[in-house]
This record gives sequence, structure tokens and C-alpha cells, in this order.
Amino acid sequence: MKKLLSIGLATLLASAGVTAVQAQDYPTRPIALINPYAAGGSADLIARTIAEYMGRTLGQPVVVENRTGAATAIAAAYVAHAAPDGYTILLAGSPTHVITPALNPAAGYNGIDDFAFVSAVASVPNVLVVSKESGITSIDELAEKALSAPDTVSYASVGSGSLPHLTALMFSQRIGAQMLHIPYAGVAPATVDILAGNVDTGFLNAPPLVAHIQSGDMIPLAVAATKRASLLPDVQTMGELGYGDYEMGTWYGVSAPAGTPADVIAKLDAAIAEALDNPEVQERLQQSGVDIFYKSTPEFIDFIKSDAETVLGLIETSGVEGAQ
Amino acid sequence: MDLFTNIALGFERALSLDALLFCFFGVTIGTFVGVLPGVGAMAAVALCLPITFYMDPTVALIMLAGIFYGAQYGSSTASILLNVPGTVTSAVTCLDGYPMAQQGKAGVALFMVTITSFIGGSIAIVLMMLFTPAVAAFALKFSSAEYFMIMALGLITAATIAPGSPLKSLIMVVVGLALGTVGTDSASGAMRFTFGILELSDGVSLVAIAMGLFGVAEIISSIGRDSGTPIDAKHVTFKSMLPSKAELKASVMPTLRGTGIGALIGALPGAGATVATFMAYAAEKKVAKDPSRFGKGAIEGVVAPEAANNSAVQAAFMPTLSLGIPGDALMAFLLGAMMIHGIVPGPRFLVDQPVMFWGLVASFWIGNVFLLILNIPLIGVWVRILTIPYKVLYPTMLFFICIGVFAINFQVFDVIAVLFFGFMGFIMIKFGYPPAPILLGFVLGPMMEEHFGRALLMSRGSFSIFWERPISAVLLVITLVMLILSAKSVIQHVRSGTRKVEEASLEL
Repeated sequence: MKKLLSIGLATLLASAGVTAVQAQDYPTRPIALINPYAAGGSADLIARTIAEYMGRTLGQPVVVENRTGAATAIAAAYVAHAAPDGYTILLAGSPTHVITPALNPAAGYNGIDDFAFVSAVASVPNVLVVSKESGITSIDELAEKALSAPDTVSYASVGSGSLPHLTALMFSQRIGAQMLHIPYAGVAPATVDILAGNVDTGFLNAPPLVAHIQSGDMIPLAVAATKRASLLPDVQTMGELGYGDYEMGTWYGVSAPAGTPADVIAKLDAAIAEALDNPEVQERLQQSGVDIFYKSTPEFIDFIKSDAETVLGLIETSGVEGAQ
Repeated sequence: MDLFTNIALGFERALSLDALLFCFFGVTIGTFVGVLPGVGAMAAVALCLPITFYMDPTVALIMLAGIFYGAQYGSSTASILLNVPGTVTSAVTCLDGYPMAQQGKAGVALFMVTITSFIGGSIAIVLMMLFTPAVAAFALKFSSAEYFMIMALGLITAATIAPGSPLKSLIMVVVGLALGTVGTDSASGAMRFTFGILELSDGVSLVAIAMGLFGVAEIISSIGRDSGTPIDAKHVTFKSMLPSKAELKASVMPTLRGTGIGALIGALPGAGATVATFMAYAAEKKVAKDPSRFGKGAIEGVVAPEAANNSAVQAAFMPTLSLGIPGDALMAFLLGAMMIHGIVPGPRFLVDQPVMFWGLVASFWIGNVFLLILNIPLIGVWVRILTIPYKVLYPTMLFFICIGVFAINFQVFDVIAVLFFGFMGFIMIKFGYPPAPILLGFVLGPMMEEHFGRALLMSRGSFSIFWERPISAVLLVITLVMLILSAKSVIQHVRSGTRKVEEASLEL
């Protein structure tokens, strides 16, 4: 028994000694990529695709774990409190790092300080749509209608403080109108009500809407990004239409717990860059309407900071409960 | 004629070897995860999703869908035998299924459930073949005002479904409604009654409540009960499983009514199969000559919700495929699986992908046949579960419940929640408070609140939206009539002095 104990102790000590130099031969065991979203959606596709190809480069499998709940806070808090050794990483986004920590005091982590950022990966475009029943055919007409009287135009979102909510808020603030916010539990019910003409408009994730756009039941007015979406190449951006720059796509990246060694971050970043260079990965993502949105570590950090500034500014003026 | 060409096309695809094989694979997995309490189809589908990346998209969908509807067949097994619902949709089946099993008619109940599941599923598939394109237009007519009225109707008709005191039932509905308020308010984003607990910000887990109140409570209350061997294995003969002629006859209409209710509710993307089962049960209790039999092993109370459940699940594919609008998390998941394969369900899906759509629909029916063939012989096996001594069976059940609840979100909190509701359910049983109304209130409450708020947002605060929209107005009238009729019957009985308030309201 004593002997067993001492062997155990020795192993523990040895492994502690290894920690210091481990970064060089990282990774030596499978890496868990924590996905805050349920299996099946765009986020899951992005996570599984990059995990597979990162694993090939790193020589160790990257395993996707879906830990859903509390508007991504469950997953983010889990990664924030994990060991900073590069074996637990997060599928990051505005909700995990900016929106949820600002809105939910119980989130239990700081979206910026508790994380080391690796790289931005992909982005799902948000598109401004109206129903063909609405009679509106251009963003100018929509803006005009919105300006005619407060709350004339209603817009759907996927929840208070969600990106579709904040993007519409940004739009109404920039044109100086007041629009009526109608929150939904997800894109699906919001789509039904826009199609049926019960709600006028909304900035929603493009992929699930494409079928309705192609059938002519929904009219896309603009893409809320600085670049056009590969899924809807004919739809102009907000900037092209003269409504200013919007970088309000639903972006996804990878982050790790704060304190993760810089060379581990560099290895992960290189593996992500290599995966995104692969034509197979590009095809798989673009086929589902996801655009490549790669940003290396320093670019990603700058991007998060500016994203946080925009989003937090919007949250403050949004009147969403819990916003400080 | 076009329809027949399409159906032929579908069967041609669905009868190919790979489709048959994976259909069988899917429904078999489905049956088993359905039987295991707590372990839902969602977990199984999520596990199988990565495999499907390498499959033909039609075959992939056939398999994933098979897991989904297969689970509905298995889910009633544990409800009937052990009073532990396999999935939330079969919680209502506990009400009369378990009393049937206690009367030694477990085999009969399981047999009837399998047959009605098959009939309910098959009728829904036929409806699907005929009406899928029309459903898209139908579903678009339903918005928050209509959904609110459906939920209100459901709540009013089903509030007194549990046997025993109607007052206690109503109290439990209110408890359910109260539990439903926990979590993030959908309109404002405010946290309600979360007490700073992060895990509560999505509300209490429905599965934890269902498994706790029905399953764990049953296990706890069995402590100290006579633990002798309950059933001798020799008694489980095939003959004892066959229902009598009277039982068969009594099941025909409930099965058809249940199927109808299920298909209607299932075709609406915002309602869900659980609501359908409650409404089907309530409808049977309403039309029955002697409602007091319910809760004591009435066969109608078993077959109607099960038919509704299976037909709702099949019908739920209609809005998902024709509109691209998933009704619940599982449908959203299947939709996601299709999108991963580059297929976008929606108005063009039927036209652009006829082989896939009709192949899928045809495979549903083949899958239902597989399920029938698979489940009938399994009844004998399942009934033998009752021959396992409780001291072995119940800890095993508890183990599966905990694993199942944990597997949904990988959260220990949910395991604690299921145990908490287990103790709560135990205390409720002891004081004669029925658990089913809690579930009803909990499922309907948050949806009603959300739709009510949204309807008023849309109308800019005017209540007239509820009677200005035609479908909503019709539902409102039905709800009011139901309410007035029940009040009237109670008042009449009490006035004439024939019965006390308690007795009169028992028949609601």
C-alpha cells in the first residue's frame, strides 16, 4: 500500500515537472473543443469541421463537446475555469465573450480577462429580410416607413440582447427611428411570423432563410457585414447601400483559458489557419452558408475589443434587463 | 396520378438495401433509448450525427428520423410497467398504463400501445403524403394569438385530467405554472427566480421534472413496500398479452381521436407532441360515459395519448420539411443534419428533392412496420422486467434516470434537480396530490406567457388581436364554451342537491 502510494506521489510530482516543458511537445493527448451550442446547427458544423482538420495537423484528436445552456455561459464558464494547458478550448463568439457576461450577473466569468484568444474562424452572415407580403422592396422604403412614426415597423430577434436584436437596434439608432422589438425563442418561429407578415423585418442568420429567399417569399434587403455573403452574392451590404459599415455577422472563433502558454496558442492558431486553407474545409463551410472569417491571434484580439465596444454600447442603450 | 408516381418513387428509394438497413438500425436504437427512462432520442441522434456525415443524405435522414419516431414506440414501455416515463411525451401514459400493469394487464397494455402507435403513425404518414404542401400554408396562419388560444384551451380541458380531487389537481397546475416562470424572461431578458444559480437561467429541466415526479418518486415510495417477487415468469404467456374483444372495441375510437388530435397539433410547428398527449387524454375523459374509470386502468387512457404521440411526431415532419421550420429541438436538429449535407428544407424542397422527400416519407411507413415487428415479440421480454426483484430493479432504474438526465446537458445540477423532484413527488403522492397537472402547467405555462406577450406586442397592446384573427376567435369561442359548460354542470348538480361540489367537479 505504502509502495503504491509513493509510486502515485512520484507520478504526480513527475507530471507536475512535465507541465513546465510540456508546451514543446503539446499536444500529447486529445483536446476538448467546448461548443456552447446544441449539435446540429451552424456552430456545430464549424466546430466539428475545424476540429477534424485541426486534429490532423496537431496529431491528436480534437473532440467536440456540446455543453449548452444559460445563453452560452455554461460552456464559457467551464472553459474559463479549466486548466490553462491548451487541452480545453472554447468555440467563441459575441455571446460567450461579450453579450452574456454583460447581461447575466450569474455568468461567473469575465468574458475578456478570463480568456486567451486564439483566432477567429468563421462567420454566418446576418441578412435584413422582409416578407413579400409587406410590399417593401428596398431598405430605403423600410427606413422611410420606420421614420414615419415610432413603432410602425416591428422586427424579430432571437431574444433580448441577441445579435439580431442589437443589429436592428444599431440600424434604428443610425437612421434615427424607433422600431418595435419582438423577441422569439429562435430563428424558426421568427421566420414563420416574418413569412406570414405578422412581423415586418429582422436581421437574421442567412442560411435557414435561403430557401424562402429563393422561393421569393422573403426579400433580402441588405447584408449586415462589410463584405457580401458568399451565400447571397447579389445582396448588397449595408455600406454599399449607404447605411454605414456593419460588422454584425454571427462570428465564431476559438479561445482558451487565460494563462495558456503563448506557444500553445501559436500552435492552435497555426492549426486553425491550416485547416481554413484546406479547400475541403472551405467547401464544407460555404456549402452551408458559412463564410471563412480567419483572424490571427493579434488581429482577433483587436477584433474582440472593437466588437465588445460596439456591442456593449448597444446593450447599454437597449433597455435589456440585467444590462449594467 | 402524380401522387402515386411520387409514392412509387419514394418506396423505390426506401426499399433499397442501404435505406432498409439503416432504417432498421435507426428504429431499433430508437426503441431502446425510448425504453430507457431519461435517455431521450435527442442524445441518441446527437451521438449518431457524426456517422451520417459519411452517408448518403437520404439514408442519413432515414436513420436519424427512425431513431426519433422509434423512441416514441419504446417510451411507453417503462410508463406502463414501472410508472417511469421513457420520454416526457409518454408521461400521460403512466396515468392509466401503470394501473393496468398493477392489475396484471401489462402485456395487454403494451400490445395495445404498439398497435395504436402503429395505427397513429400510419394514418399520420398518409396525411403527410396528402397534405404536406398544404400544411405550409396552414402553419403560416398560426401566430402567437392562435398559439396562445390553443394553449389556453389545452390548459382548461386538461386541468382536471388527474384522478382524485379536482381542487388538488388545480393546485398542482398552478405549481407547474409557477415552476415554469423560473429562468430568463423571453421578452425582457430578465432572470426570474434563478437565485444567482447559472444552471437555472434556462429554467428547470422538463426532463428532470418528469423523471423526478413520476420515476424517482415511484422508486422512493416503493421503499419499505412488500418486495416479494411480484410476478411469476410463467404467467407471462403470449395469450395473456392479447387484449379481449371488449378491450379492442373500446380502443378503436380513442385511437382515431388521438391520432386526429396528434396530427393536428403535430402539424403546427409551435405546439409539440407533449401538448397533444395531454389533450388526447383529456378528450377521452370528456367523451367517456364513466370518467371516474380514468386513472384506474382505463384502456382508452392508454391508447389515445399513445396514438396522439406517434401521430404528432410523424406530423411534425410536415412543417419541418415543407417550411423549413422545426417544431422542437429535435426537429431543429434533423434540419441541421440536412443542412450539413447541403440540403435546405423549405418551400422548394418537395419540388427540388422529390426522391429524398418521398423516400423519407416511404421509409417512415417501412420503419413503422419494422417497429411493429420488433415490438410485439419484445413485449414478452419487457413484461419479464416485472419479474426482477425490486431491490435490483429500482436501483438500476435510478441509475439510468440519473445517466439520462445528466446526458442531456452534461450537468450535475440536473441530476440534483431530478432527485429534488423525486422527493417532492414522493411527498405529493403521500398527500394525494397528482403529479401530471404539474407537468401540464409547466409545459403550457411558459409557452402561453411567451405567446400572450408577443401577441400583445404585435397588436401594439390591443387585446382585440385575440378576436380579430379568425382562427384565434374560433378557438376563443370553443374555450369559453368549454368553460361555461363545465361550470354549468357543476352548478346544476350542486343546486339540485344531488351532489357536492367535489363530486360534481370530479366529472370534468
